[in-house]
Amino acid sequence: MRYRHMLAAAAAVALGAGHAPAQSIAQLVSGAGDGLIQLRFASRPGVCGDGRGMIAGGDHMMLGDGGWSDGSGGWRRRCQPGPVRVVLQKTNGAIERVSSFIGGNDSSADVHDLGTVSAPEAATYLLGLARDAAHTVGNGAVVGAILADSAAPWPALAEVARDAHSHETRQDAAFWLGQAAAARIKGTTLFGDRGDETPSDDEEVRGEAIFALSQQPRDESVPALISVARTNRDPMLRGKALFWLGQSGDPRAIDLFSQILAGAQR
Amino acid sequence: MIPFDRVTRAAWVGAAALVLLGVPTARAQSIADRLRGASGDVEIRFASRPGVCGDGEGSMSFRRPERSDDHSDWNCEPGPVRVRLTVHDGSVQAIHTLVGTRHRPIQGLTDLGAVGDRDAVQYFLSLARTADVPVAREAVTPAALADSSTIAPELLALANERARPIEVRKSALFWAGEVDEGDVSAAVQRIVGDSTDDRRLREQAVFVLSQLPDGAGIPALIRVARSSAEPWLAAKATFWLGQSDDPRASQTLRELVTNGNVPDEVKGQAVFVLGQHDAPEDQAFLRRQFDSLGSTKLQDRVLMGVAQHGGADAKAWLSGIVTDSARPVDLRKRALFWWAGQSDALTTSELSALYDRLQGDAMRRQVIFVLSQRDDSLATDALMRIARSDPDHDLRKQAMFWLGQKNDPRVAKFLTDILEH
Repeated sequence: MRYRHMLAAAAAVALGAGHAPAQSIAQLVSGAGDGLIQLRFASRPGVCGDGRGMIAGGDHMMLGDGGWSDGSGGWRRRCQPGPVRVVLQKTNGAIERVSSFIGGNDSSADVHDLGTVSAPEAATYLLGLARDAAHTVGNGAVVGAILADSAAPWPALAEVARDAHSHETRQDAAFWLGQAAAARIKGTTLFGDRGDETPSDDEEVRGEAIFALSQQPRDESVPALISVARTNRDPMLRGKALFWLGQSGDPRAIDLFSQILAGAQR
Repeated sequence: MIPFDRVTRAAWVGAAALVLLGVPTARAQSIADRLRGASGDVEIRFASRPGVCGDGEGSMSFRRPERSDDHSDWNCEPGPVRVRLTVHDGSVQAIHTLVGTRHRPIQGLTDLGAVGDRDAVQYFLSLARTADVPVAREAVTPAALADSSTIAPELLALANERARPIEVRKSALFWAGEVDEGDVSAAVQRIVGDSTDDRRLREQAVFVLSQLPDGAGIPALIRVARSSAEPWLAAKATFWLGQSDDPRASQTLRELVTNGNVPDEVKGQAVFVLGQHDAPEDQAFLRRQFDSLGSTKLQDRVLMGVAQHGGADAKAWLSGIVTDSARPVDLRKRALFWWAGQSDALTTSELSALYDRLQGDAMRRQVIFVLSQRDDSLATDALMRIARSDPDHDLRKQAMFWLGQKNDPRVAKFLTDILEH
């Protein structure tokens, strides 16, 4: 079942990429009228969703528009691989909201469907949107960008983390940069691997120490966490330090993420 | 030339005539007449009843006890009552009552001078009976403060006028008790006991009983606390009994605690107010009753009262509960919570030593939490010691978590050391 979906997604990417080489996504969106605009692109390996707001992969689960979880783990049954589906809400020529999904379809008559587009192009387009817009756009755009397959959006995401108009969008971007950096440190992928290993008692205590450190005043916590992230022997602890650095949104943390992710292909 | 004695005599006669003529003249032009057509802020003044004093600005006192140890700067001047009225086209919009002569000059204030105190009483009572709430409520006070009048019956009548706003009725009832014109406890009791009347007025009546001079309302309060069929009312009476120094009150409170038929709401109030008493015998009584109270809520009130009261006996008793492993952990945790809430009753060093003495995670967790709530550096020391060396890694984690919430420059270094080694 999963394999069939992935094949379908791969076929769609291949077809989509071949269909619209002449016009950029920005041009396609610009050419569409006001209303809902839908586009699809390939998702990173390990990502699944319910076609509505729930998206999961690896250790992550997001509940966006219409997403839900009954807390019993039933969401895993509903979580199916599929392409990223992004829906843009355009009003008076401006994008006012971006929502990202895995799978599903909005077949309403008033939806302008752009079909399947290149994932790296989509990531670039979405991060461009995220930089200058309100968080109603930035939130969905950042999520859509980091879900895009074959994309290494980290430099552009770092720019969003530093300079985006919306504080919340900067926080979102910093969070995902931290996650990507932690995955790289641990030698895993952003959504493909679940951290199933049980930490030792000592690791748990040290993990708590990292959290405690993150709660200290920023001038003390950020350099200390950066030091842990750079030099600690335990990748799990380095990953935790990166996680809390991502929560801080501090420019020094963004620099560290960029260094860790420099040259990353995905 | 008129001889000197004749001048003096004439002057006295003139003054007498002035008094005789002047007073009727002022009365002839009543306060209402003077205010008719007026606009703006005006002030009238009249004699205050004995025992009333004020600083001329807004603080006032009534039936203030003479105290030789009162060294406050407050100079309480006995009268007159000065009432500032904001008037618009003859209609009173606001009333502000002051006592004393000292005051800052107010620009635009028209001084209408002295008025007769009986005229003042009738005028302000009339406002209280007929005006809208803010004015009517504020009108009761100057009426009550005016000299040479017996006003309690009229105030009680106003308090019983159900058509009048509750704020006015409450104010009238309050002043009926305050003016000390004889025993009004029977009339106030009737209001307390009238279940058809507004609950707010009945609450006020309970309060008024507690304020009557010479403990005149204490027997009535005791009756209500012991036997009212309405627990909320009995609880109110109990609360106000607890504020009294009357020995009958303390005795009643203890009976309420030990009587198994008393509703929890009333018993809880009795425990609470006894807990606030400094008398060693009341504190000892609560400690003795603790185990027989049964309810967690009642026991918490004892713990709180004993902890707040402090002292060697309280410390020994609380320590006994906290360290008694035969008692439920939840009870011991609550005892520690209340005890440690008074930092002078349980120092941080003692708390740290207690951690080492206590058996079981739950109690140690509670100590860690209590340490986390203290701001002194000894508390941070204790948390760092636990985080570094406690054999239980869950307790170390908890200490670590709370260290993260501390604003102490040593914490970041401590945590970094932990991570590096």
